Amino acid sequence: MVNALTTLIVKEVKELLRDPKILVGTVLMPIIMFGILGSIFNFSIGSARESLENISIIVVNEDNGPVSSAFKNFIENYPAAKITALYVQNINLAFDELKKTNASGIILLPKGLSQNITKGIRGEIVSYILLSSLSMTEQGKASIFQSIVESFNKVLSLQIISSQIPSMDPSFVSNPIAGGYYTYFRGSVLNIPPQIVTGTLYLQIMMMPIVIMIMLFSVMTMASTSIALEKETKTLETLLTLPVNRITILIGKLSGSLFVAVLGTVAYLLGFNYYMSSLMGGFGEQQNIDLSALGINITPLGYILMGIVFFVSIVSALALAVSFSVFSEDVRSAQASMSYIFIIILIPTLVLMFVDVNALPLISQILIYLIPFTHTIVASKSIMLGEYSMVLINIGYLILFTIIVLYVAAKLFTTEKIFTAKISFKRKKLTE
Amino acid sequence: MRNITVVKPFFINNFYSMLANTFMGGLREMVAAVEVSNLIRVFGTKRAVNGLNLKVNEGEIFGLIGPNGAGKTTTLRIIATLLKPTSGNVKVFGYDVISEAENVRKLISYLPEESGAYNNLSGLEYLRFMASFYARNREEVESFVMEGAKISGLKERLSDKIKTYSKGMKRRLLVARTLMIRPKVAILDEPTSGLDVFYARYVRDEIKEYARSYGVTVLLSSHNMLEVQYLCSRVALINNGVIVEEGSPEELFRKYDSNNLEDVFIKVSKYG
Ligand SMILES: Nc1ncnc2c1ncn2[C@@H]1O[C@H](COP(=O)(O)OP(=O)(O)O)[C@@H](O)[C@H]1O
Ligand SMILES: [Mg+2]
Repeated sequence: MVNALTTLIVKEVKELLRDPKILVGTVLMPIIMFGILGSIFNFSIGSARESLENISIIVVNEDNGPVSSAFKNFIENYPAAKITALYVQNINLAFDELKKTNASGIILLPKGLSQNITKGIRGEIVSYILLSSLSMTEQGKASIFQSIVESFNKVLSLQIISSQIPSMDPSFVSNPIAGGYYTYFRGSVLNIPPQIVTGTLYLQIMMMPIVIMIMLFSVMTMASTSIALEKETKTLETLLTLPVNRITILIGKLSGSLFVAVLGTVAYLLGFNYYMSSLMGGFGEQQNIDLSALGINITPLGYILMGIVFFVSIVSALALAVSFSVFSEDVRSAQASMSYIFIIILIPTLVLMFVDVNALPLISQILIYLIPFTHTIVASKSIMLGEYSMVLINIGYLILFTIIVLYVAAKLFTTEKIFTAKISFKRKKLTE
Repeated sequence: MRNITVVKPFFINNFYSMLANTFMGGLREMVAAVEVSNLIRVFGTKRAVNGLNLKVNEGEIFGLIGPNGAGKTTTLRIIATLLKPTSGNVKVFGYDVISEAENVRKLISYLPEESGAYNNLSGLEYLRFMASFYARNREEVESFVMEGAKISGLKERLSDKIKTYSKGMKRRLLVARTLMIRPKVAILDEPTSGLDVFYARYVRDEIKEYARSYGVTVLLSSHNMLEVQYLCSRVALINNGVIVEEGSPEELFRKYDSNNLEDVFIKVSKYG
């Protein structure tokens, strides 16, 4: 006997992956979509940065004093960008130049600036920033004018301090206190500010639910599509008369759709990762620290538990999808029925991303915990945080649920139900 | 008696049935290829099959004919282990379709009334897929596929995706896959329905030729009386879920003084 299960799985994968809708929709689309998004982002960041590295401004020097010459000197040696300055006599000429040249804006050093500052009165430097479009480059320009003025402010301040209080270190006078920020996290003190801890946790742990959600969704879509395809193309009737155990047929379906779903998820994650790294790279100094720096180490036991949680959740999602799609006649109604089930996954995912479940009213807590996929997310978070005590309960509930849906799916598959059951999830048109 | 191998030269089958029919008919009862007794199947309040009795002998081409809604498809689905009887007994070579469904499935090859094939596979891949479930080894898979390719007559089109096939080509492929594995019983539900005359003729000839040369017992349904007349050695007329008349076409012609089954059917349902 040629191996029936392998034959079934190979057929399943071929049939699904060669379907243009599935191939494009689940495998290619995420890569293409995120790829394009990421590239656009990269490109615009790149061009923005390029245009910010070489900036030309028009300086109106009405002051003609020591401060304006210090400013002139300052922008010539400005460290963050190469600034080309065009000096004009008055503001009207400056606006004329702004129209003619490709300068990004005007900096006005008003009359009496040096005088005021030597007298100890605060002076003002005025910037007129050209806004020609709503691109990221324009936003960058606005901030570059700000940082020019702020840095110059600091330089002046240090100069004033050293001339007025020569006996003291000017940097000390301007900042006599340094703040130290530590985080008390899970019973120990970390030499890391809390924002960075939450940022890291958010990225690495809160992202989990999203990844799980994508995985479950694509697994379910795939399994229900594969059942519905059999019905739509009228191949199910033949399939069920083959000399193969029906459970084998079911397992073949589940494994085949799982394989394709995993491909889809990997594509999604690759695309998403590329997109996120483009985004992060764009925003510059993102402080990334290792989870182990926070005292979070996933032990081998943790990995095993995580594997169990994932496996059981995916199997139950597959069985759930199969059980539901048995009742639909074609791919469209199968996918429509999946979108109802998907809400069941979406609710805990969203709730758990933003809210601490234990802070919810009891009734909501019970409802959320009744949804099996809540336990997937809760368990994977706990495992990452090294809190294993509750994980066994999560896994227990998931296994119980999986056994029940698998039993239902197997029953539906081994009786004539798969063949006779029909419930339409499509809305009837009014005209019909 | 139950150790029936799937592949057996046709002349041995014929020899046995000849032997049984001529010499041993009264001494030892042959196991019928298909035996249906008092079959009832109810859908809700509808009695789709209502006390049906049927016996198909090994090696014959048996036709179940009747109008739409007579209960043909329901009966064939029950024999093919897809539906459960509400009551009654159905056996294929002695195996019960409910309690021994797995054994029945090894002996039959079923072509549903409305059937498609996997659109994204090529014709050849589809034949290979189907052959894998019946073959005992790789070589047998390939020999089944070769036979299937021959029966289908699709030649080089077999390497194209099935979604590019016309309805007639698909049907030829499906008939080919039903017969290529040389089942003990081929169950064909309206094998030519919806085909134009040329494809219908082709499919009919495929069935006639290969059923005979492979020694396959065929149970087919049709509402086309001419088709049944052309193909079948024995026919049963079905109406409202029961068999109303049975015999070889010649017997029925004689009995009802007619030369076509359509006429016979009308006479039976009027006076029978
Ligand atoms: N799954 C089903 N549910 C309800 N009624 C059915 C079902 N299948 C068949 N029937 C009914 O049973 C009767 C016999 O149908 P069928 O066996 O398909 O007839 P035939 O194949 O001879 O045209 C018809 O009245 C049909 O409507
Ligand atoms: Mg029918």
